Amino acid sequence: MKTNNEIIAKYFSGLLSEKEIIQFEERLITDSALKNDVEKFLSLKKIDVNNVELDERYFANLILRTREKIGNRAKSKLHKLAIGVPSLAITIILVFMLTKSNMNNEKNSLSHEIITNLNDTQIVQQYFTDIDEATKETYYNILVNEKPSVEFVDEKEKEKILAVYDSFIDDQIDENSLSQIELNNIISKIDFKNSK
Amino acid sequence: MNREEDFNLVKRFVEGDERAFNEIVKKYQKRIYWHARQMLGNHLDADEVTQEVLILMYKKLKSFNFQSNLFTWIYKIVTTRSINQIRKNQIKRFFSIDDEENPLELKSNNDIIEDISNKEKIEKLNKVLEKLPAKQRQVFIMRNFDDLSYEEISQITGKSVGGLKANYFHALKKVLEYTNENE
Repeated sequence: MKTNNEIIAKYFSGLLSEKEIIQFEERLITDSALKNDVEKFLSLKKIDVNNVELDERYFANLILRTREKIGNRAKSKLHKLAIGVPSLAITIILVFMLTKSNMNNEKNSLSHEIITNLNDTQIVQQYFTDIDEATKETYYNILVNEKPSVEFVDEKEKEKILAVYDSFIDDQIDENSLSQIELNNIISKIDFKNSK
Repeated sequence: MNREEDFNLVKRFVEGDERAFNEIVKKYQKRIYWHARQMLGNHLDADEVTQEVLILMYKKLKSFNFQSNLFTWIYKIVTTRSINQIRKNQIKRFFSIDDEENPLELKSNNDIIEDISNKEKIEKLNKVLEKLPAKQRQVFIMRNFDDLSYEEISQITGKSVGGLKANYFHALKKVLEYTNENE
């Protein structure tokens, strides 16, 4: 029986050579068992599924149901967009606001920390180290145009510093430039704590 | 099945004539349903797949370029969707602790086949087809009931003719073994 199944399957699959096909068809005439097995298979094949009587109402409604689903999906897409787009916009705005507020908080807390823990000299030394040319020029102009108003307890010290300041200004006016080291140098000599 | 007629229908639909889509559906709905039905073995799954196929056709028809016949293209969708549904069912069955008889009962009660004699034959056929893995079932149905050549099946499935012959051979062997055992 198993041998018949194999040869029948090979015959109908087109896996036999021409010679084997002829042999198989000759066997079909004489071998009743083989003939019987082939007929059983062919009877299964005979079911004409394409002519089975069907409930036509199903097919009459099919297009309507499909169109309804297409419509619902389109609506649901629009609905999702109508909710999704404003939600996304609100989220972006909130994230932006939170980030900005965090940045401000960070700035405020840094300012607070600086004001609380450091004196003016330390602030200048630690935070005004990376001074670009434009800032340097601003400092230079301030130094040229406005003498720092400083109160000193010790008059000698005051004179000493003002002398340094004046000589520095005299030197720098011609050169029209001010290095960072020089700037730090002059600033470090002024007691900002006592400035008005 | 005329290529020119299909071309005109698709052209009309692409140009915005919605009635053309209805005509395409009317023309092919039974073949779509039957292929899905044979692949899946019950009306409920076949109905689900048929509707999915029609929705997909509606969406994708505008990009159809007539490199193949319209029905070859539709067939490709039906066959892929049916195999996906078989896999989904297998996964559901694998994870389901419930009694399996209930869904089957529900499935057989919801049917659109009206003549009882054919219904019995089809149920018998379904039992045979159920024994086959999805890919073998696909080739078996296309060869036996849709009368497609290996070349046509190859166009639809993208498989080589040699591979299809091997699949069909294994399917046939299983079918013959099953029919002999259940005599």
